[in-house]
Amino acid sequence: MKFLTQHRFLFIAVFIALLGCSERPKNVEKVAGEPPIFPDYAGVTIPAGIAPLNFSVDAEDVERVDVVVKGKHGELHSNGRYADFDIKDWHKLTEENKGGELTVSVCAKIAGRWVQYDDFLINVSAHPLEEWGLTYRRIAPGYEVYSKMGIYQRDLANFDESTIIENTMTDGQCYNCHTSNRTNPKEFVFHVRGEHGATMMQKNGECTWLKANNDALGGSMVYPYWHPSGRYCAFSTNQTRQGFHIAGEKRLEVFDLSSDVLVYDTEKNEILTDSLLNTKTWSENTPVFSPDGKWLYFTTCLQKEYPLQYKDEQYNLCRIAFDEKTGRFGSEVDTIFNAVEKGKSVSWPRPSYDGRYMLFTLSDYGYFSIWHKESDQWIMDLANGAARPADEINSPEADSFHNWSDNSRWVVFTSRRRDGLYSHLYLTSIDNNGHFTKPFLLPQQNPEQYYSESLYSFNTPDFSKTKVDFDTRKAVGSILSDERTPTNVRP
Amino acid sequence: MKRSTKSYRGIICISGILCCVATAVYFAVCYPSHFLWQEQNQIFLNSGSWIATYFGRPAWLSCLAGDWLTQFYIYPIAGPVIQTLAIALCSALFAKGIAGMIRQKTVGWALTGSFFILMLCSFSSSATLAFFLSVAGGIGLGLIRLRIGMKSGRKVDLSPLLVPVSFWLFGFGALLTAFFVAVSELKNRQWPFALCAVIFAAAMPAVFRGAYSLPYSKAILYPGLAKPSMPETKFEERLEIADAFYMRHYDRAMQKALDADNPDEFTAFYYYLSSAVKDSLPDHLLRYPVKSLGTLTTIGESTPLPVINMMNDLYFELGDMTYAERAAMMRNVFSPRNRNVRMMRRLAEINLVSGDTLAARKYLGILDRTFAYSGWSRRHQPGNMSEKAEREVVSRMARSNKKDNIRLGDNCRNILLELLESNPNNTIALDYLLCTDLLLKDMDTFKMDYDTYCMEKGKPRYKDLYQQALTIYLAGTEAPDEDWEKYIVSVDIMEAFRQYGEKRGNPAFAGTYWYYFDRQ
Repeated sequence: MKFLTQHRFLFIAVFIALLGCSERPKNVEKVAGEPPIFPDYAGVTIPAGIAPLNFSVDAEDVERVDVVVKGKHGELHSNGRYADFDIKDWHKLTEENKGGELTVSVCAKIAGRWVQYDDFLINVSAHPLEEWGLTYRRIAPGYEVYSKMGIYQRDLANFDESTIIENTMTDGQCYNCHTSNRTNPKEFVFHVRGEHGATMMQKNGECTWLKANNDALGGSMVYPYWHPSGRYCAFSTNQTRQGFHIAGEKRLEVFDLSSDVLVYDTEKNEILTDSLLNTKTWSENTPVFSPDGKWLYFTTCLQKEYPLQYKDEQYNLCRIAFDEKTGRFGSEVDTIFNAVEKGKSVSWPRPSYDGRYMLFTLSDYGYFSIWHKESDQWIMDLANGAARPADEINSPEADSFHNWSDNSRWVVFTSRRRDGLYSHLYLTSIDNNGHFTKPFLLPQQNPEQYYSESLYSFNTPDFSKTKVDFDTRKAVGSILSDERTPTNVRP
Repeated sequence: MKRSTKSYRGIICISGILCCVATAVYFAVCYPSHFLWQEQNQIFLNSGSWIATYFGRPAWLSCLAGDWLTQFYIYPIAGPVIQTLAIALCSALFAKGIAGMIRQKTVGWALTGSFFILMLCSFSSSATLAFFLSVAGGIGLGLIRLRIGMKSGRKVDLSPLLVPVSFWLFGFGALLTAFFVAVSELKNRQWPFALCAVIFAAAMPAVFRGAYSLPYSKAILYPGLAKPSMPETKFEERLEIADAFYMRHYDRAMQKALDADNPDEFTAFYYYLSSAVKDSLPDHLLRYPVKSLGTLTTIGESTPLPVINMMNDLYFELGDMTYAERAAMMRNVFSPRNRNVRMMRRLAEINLVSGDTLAARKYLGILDRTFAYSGWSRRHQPGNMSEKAEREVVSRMARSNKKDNIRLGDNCRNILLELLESNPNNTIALDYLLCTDLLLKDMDTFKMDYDTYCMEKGKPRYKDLYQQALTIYLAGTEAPDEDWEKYIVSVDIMEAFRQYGEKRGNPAFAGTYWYYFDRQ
């Protein structure tokens, strides 16, 4: 009691402050139309248990927002500078309304006046997103040089991000092309570029640091994709160059003076090549295995003179048979999608793990689609070969790299739709008819501040079944040691 | 005895104040551009998310306070005053800390010595305010005695626990905290506690290096040490010239370049660029002792920072937004947290000129969250630009490239030709092209370029420099009279050329292209 008496002014101040923090709407005026919120979460479909879809009202002089989210079972309330939901309550609400919808009512205090917008809906998918989270590379575009960058992982149930490896730990290397096997990080690969270059392959906790360059291949191994057995990993080896657009909408162009596709046998430490994947007149690129491991998909382009004919660098989607027992390739290459015929170019093919679809990016030319505003997501039904632009998720800006969740119900992809310059991650789900739902921006605690202030691009996102178990400290030692395992090319 | 102590303290106090005033005045008069450099090389955003990012690093308090205070260095007096106070605080705390270790009469010397050393540290362009705040914070915590009384009446010494706190708040300041805690414990014959303090200081960076994604060598010294150095007068001089140019004070930039003690490629670059913007590059080309236009400079992975800045300014003025953006992006890479206010402004300007309003809004949005540039940001919002800003953007748009192509290297000649193909009226690009030819004494190329972009466009550029150069070409190729009449319109030039022909290499003709061609 004495304590209360002594500190009464403090208690009064705290009480007044708390009152100020939870100002409720009064004399509310209704305005027509959905609220102008960022990120645009109106009508999106989310998995139950994902991090709260916090948002802010994107209008001048917004002093406060008051948001009520109602489901068939339960409701949630947020009042503050932006909608900031309690994580546990959000999870409970989405779990209880799985397969249903949430109605979001938004009131905003603008220039001292409370207004209420039309309600909007958020659908909670009946299909779970079973993965723990996402992995991605985050880098500031510096063109030739890079500052702080690395490979990170993000818990999708909340906003926690942790570092897998970052170049501040070493001597400023570049890390890229991290890939796990069917979202399972027990088999995990990434590249180290620069002075201590290597390809790191981790299988069941054992790390192998492969020599980055193989003279027999004429380059280093890039763009990896695991065989479902975990024994093989497909790569391409590219002689990449970049040039700058001097006017117009595009900034950067990347082209390959040559590229080939190869498969690395992790058991025999051997590189498997084939004359059909290693041609002089064609550039083979971005390989992926089919979910059953019997096919190797890749893109291929008739080699041209670059940069003179940069607009003619157009890739088709092809495939070749692969026998996992012998590690031998088939005797012929099939064209699965003839993009050149349409005057377009395919990049980043990714089959859904249930074998039904092939998701790829289509742009006017080239394969560094993230620098092409016209690049869009396309989806192909592998049963009949019919392909269509996934207009329901595309934007006027670049929509590029993508990956599937293990249950083939969710897709994460990069898009520059927010500012045209920095790529961010969007998630979408696919229904039984092969149609995507409206994509939503990866949630952040305060998305408006996070995305407005970020000068980083999110690259090569993938789902991750569990948190990546990677001994960073040991890895740093291995990177700096330069001890590398050389690879042999199968005779 | 008491009186002598009092008077001694009084002397120290008055000397300290005088020393501080003198230091602040020195900084303000002789070192203003260094402070502006600090401010321009960072950014501080007034937002919760931005501030929260500081907690993911060691020394969050000194970095946060340092960056917050540095944003006010935009005001000329703020930097000198804040820096002086930081040095004074560090020195006073240091003197207080060692007062018990040395004879009282030598405390004054310790104070003076530490002040002097820290002042030398502040001369380094890489010394951030966070360094001084880490020193002050580290010593300050080291002077605190943390003892908790138990019910038994016994007191438990928790002072070594201040070391991890110090690492968290002040980074390498934890080493200073450990030092003072250890000394204090040793004086009390509590060597286990002293040992604890030292172990904590060494172990904290090792334990948290993974969480902070830093190697041990960087974690233990975070946010970085400032080494004592002599005043960087040359760098200050360069910064003054570059700042004058950036602020569009072209006459001042040229005068500063002319006043430079040792003119070099850097001062020459800004002298010529300022004169080019004033449409008088040919008039000034031979007036500066160093001949360097920057057109033969390339940038890459190992390019020094000042050169990247120069290239950014050059391409921006020429109208090549592609390479101006490239240089700005590279410049950001070398800034703390990959950004700084000058390049944010430049990137916003570049995207406004190139018409990428989405990207421009991105950078303007960031600037809108700063203390000093939110007004500038509002004046440059697409669709709501101030008249002055719009006028500048439109004039730069006219100079920029219109025709797309792929560029592989940074061959400036190609860049200039591309700009002139897009806009033959881009006189900055034209003068850089022609003047580069002339500096290389490549008369055939000069004549070809002059014909292509002046004569064939019906816009001969009658500058004395070009007229003089043309006389050399015409004489050298024994051109017919009609060519002389076509190209040389100035009777004075013809007469001077005749006179020079009689006295070739005569210093009386220094400053003419004939003399440069023959003798330099």
